[in-house]
Amino acid sequence: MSQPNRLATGGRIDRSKPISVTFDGRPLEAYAGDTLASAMLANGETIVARSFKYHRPRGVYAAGAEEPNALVHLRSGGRHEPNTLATMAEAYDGLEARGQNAWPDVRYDMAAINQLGAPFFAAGFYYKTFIGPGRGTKFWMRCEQLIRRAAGMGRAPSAPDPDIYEKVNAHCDVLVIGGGVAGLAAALAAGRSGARVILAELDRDLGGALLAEPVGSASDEFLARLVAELQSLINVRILRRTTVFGAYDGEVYGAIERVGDHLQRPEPYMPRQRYWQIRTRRAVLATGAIERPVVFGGNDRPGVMLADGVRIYLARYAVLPARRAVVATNNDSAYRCALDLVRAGASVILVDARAEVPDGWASRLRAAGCEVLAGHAVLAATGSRAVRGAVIASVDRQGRANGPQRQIACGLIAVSGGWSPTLHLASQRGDKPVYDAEKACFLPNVDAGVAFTCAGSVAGSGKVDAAVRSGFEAGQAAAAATGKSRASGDFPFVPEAIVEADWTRDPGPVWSFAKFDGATLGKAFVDLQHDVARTDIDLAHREGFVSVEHLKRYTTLGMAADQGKLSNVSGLARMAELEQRAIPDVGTTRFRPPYTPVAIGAIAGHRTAAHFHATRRTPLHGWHEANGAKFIEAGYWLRAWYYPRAGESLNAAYVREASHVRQHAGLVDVSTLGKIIVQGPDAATFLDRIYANGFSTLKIGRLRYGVMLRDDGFVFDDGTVGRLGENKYFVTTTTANDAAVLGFMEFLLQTAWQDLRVSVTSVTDQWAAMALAGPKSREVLVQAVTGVDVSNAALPHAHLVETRIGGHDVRIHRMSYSGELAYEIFVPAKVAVVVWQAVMEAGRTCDLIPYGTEAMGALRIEKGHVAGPEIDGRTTLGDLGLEGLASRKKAFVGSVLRHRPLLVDPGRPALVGLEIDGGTGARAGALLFSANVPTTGHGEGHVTSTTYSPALGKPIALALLANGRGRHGERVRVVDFLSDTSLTAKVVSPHFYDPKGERQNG
Amino acid sequence: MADATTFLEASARPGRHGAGSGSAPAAIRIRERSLGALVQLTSWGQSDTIGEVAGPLTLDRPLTPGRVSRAAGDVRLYQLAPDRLWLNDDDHASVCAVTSQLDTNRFSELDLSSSRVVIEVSGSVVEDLMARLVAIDCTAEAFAPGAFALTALHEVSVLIKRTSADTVAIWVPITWAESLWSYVCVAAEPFGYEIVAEEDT
Repeated sequence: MSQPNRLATGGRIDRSKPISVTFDGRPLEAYAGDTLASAMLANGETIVARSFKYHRPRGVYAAGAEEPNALVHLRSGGRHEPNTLATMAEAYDGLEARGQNAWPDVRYDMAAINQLGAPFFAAGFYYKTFIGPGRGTKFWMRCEQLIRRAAGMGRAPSAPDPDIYEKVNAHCDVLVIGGGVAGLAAALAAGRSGARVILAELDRDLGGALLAEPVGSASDEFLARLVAELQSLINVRILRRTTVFGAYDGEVYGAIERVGDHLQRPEPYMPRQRYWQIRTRRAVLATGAIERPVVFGGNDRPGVMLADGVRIYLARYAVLPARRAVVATNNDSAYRCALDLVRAGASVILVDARAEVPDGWASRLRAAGCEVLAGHAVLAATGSRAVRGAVIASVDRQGRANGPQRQIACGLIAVSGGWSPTLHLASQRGDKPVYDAEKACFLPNVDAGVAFTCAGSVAGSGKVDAAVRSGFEAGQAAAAATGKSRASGDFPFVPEAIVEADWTRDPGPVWSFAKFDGATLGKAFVDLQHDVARTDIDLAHREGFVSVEHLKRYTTLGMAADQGKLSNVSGLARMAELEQRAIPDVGTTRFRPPYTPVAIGAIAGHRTAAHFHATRRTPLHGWHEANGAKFIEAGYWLRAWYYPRAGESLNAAYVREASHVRQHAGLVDVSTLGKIIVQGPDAATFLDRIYANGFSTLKIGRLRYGVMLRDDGFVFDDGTVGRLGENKYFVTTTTANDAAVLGFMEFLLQTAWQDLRVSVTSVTDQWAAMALAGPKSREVLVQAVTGVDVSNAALPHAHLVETRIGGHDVRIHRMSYSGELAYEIFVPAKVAVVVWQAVMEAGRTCDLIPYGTEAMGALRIEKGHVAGPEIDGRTTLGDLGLEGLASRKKAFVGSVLRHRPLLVDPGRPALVGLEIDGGTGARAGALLFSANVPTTGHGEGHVTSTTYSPALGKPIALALLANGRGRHGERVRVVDFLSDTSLTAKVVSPHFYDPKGERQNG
Repeated sequence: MADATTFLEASARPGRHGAGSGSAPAAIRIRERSLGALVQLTSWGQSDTIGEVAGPLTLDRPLTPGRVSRAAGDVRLYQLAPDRLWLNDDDHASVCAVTSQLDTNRFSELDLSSSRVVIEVSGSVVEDLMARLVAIDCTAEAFAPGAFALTALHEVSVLIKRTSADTVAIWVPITWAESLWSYVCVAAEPFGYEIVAEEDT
């Protein structure tokens, strides 16, 4: 029979739209409006999951985000999603779901054999058993791999997710979290006041607990009226299917909207999920309350459910899980469940642990044919793969049996151990909940000074009219706090016809039932999701865990997706009982975000693939691309790496390019250089303090190489400084340290040197730059420029000149990085391509070619210029052979601490060159060892930069070698442990090529 | 200095993209706008604020962080910080005419005309699009025409300016422009967008 548990009438489903879903390949009939869980229940799918540790069969337990059992795999391929709550997954035609943590499937799981070892798998089992044997941690490390393989629930997807996700920033005056009656009333009051309101509700429908009322009840009209008015307010934004999962400082809330989860696939261009980052001035937490389970033997059997969940399945989905039911409670709320079950045609026995039952409710139930037993409880559920019956007995105030046991045949045990206000978000903000003994629950304890309030059930309201009133008043107050004082009108009228059972009225504070000797009748679980049994709490107590936070971590109580929604209070109560303390004295754990699991994709939003981070391109990027350049990432930059000719490899291309530059001329894009303008009357003084060498003596139109240190005396960065005017300097930095140097300058100007009249501005974007290098570069330049003499006499090394190329203003710096005669041409970024093309055109007769960063690196290594690999934050001026630059006439950043003994130790690694024997180059990072010592440890230095030298016709490298300057001529071993290679090399001067600088100065 | 090239020409594919049908008007229009001339004035914070330096100017409103002021010749002034001011106009000479009224001993001047590219987004859902791009409140109530803000788009520093009820200009550093243009387009896909060539505007 299809849908054996579906009632013929009722429910908030659309029976005109039948749909089909599958679970473990079995087709299930359902209707639009169902959840996967309701479809499973309607179709009699009893076992929907296997438990985490013992692989015990588990069924649907609840109807909302608190569901501990029904975690399933959804969809397939790239859309596969593990650990999804079947209770939150809206059913759609074609939905595929599979059980997880089981083989071959959840019905017949081979790993169920673990149950035989249950006595050994108690809390702390792994640590006690696997840590210790043998020496060291080797045995544990091996076991850990196996344990990790066995642990976990769902299988992570490996295929790329084809869907998109997006992140949205939202701002409002009042954020209302929860679309139950309290939340609706709060949003209405705030909205009427004129505040900008966002109302977020995790469910598809607004109404909260009222949705568990039968269709056509008085509550429907009340709800429709509230929602209609809210929807008419243009200043109220309603977000359905949106879970606020985190509350953060500064009134920032994180929420996930499930935009397309209820669809086979999202609409084109629409996201599957949307991550809302909401900044609000005030928040109203109307997050409701979650019914608590009851701890007894076999309380995890499929067929044991929360009473409120049963009501929801009856009212919303017209699903009656079983025809014979036992309702076990310690409070009034479950009486509504019993009544609804009876009305749906079930045979019901209600057992109430309290000695005195509510007269009115008991009378109504008895009149309806339901047996009501006061002072009774369920001691155990019977059945192996599903509930077949309940063992009940009379119990005392501690929940221990004090009378004979009685077996009752049933397929459903609906339980209610009271209610826990959903105070997770308040707790995340630091609120320490207080225990209310009268209501037998923790309540939020919101300080007066904070910008959020709680309303409705979360604040302890047990009835609809009280919840509406508290929500309305909270909404009014929140709006008023933001300055919105328009009259919010009348309090919404709550019809008297709404039938209520108040969970706050005289609940019996006992949630665990046992035999007369205190032992449970079978395995009794406190945390269903993590298989934490009551005996685990007892064990932790015996082993001395007295802090609730330690208890949580030792037993895993309330961890993972559950986050204590169901298990927290039961666990605390047991701990309190064992320690003979009151629950408030034991305290409760701090809840942490997220309230429900959040997909990583939703947090990433659009920031994936090409947009994982923003990418920086030089103004000449398009030209490089059009001319066949290959690119390499350098930090955020994409740089032209080399320009291969047909069939040419990287190595062949860069060697050709570098050789060509040495013989003719080449043009390379160096726009990535950091560029900073330093302006102001005290600019020279500022630069004198920043750099190790001096700049106040630099003449206008001249350039100087400069090195700056950090406060601790190590080299920070290098570059050139050009003096453009009396109070204006143009500073270049390395590509990597562009922002760091600017930040360092700003920091000093805004703190230590506020008296200096200086401003610094990054002009890295304003100016593109290209380096023209090679013996024919002057010849090219003569062709390119107009109206200026660029001869050696007019424009010698370390001079600059302003002129025009291609009809645009440019500034030319005579400066060499390659060791060749070279010029750096700075040009406004927006005309960079025009100027580059003009230079290329001018160089046509001089064999001018473009070259990339690989060739540029080869040229600078040949010349022995230091760069990022050498200036790695651990080297000093002395290490790099730059000691002579340091001024003795002035103080500068790092000038004191650079003299620390460790930094002037003559044995420190110093910059050297290496001529590598053979045709294979060294790898950067390879360690250096003397020829006749064992190659163990960290060696005497390491290779920093490496290349094949076209000029020398052999592999060379720069390296830092202990006492390096005194070891020229020595042979060393170059060992790379990563690739397991060993080379030999001769230590030489780092200046391999033209050490006297005749070529660059010519 | 006026722009010599349309910087994003290569990456801007004119036409209709994203959600919606090809014939229906797109909810968002994206184009590159000419920045024109952009000149920065900086003062020395301890002795002079930029407001004091700009005191001699006749403005339509006092210099205020977050609000554009206008000087003679319709030159727009953006006070970015107590010591920093940007002047912007299509014509460099107009900007120079403004700065020439000031005491040159009290500030530094710097041409930044090539440093930024302007991405303009417009349409009835422009606020929703901006909510996907920046973490500041871009609703008309909080960010009315004439307002500007320095903020981060995809963690890159940008200046955004509300030019009209349905239009926002985003000034992005030129080296990030192509990447951010693409990012803006991706964020606009759910709405449907049209890339408009500058000459069509």
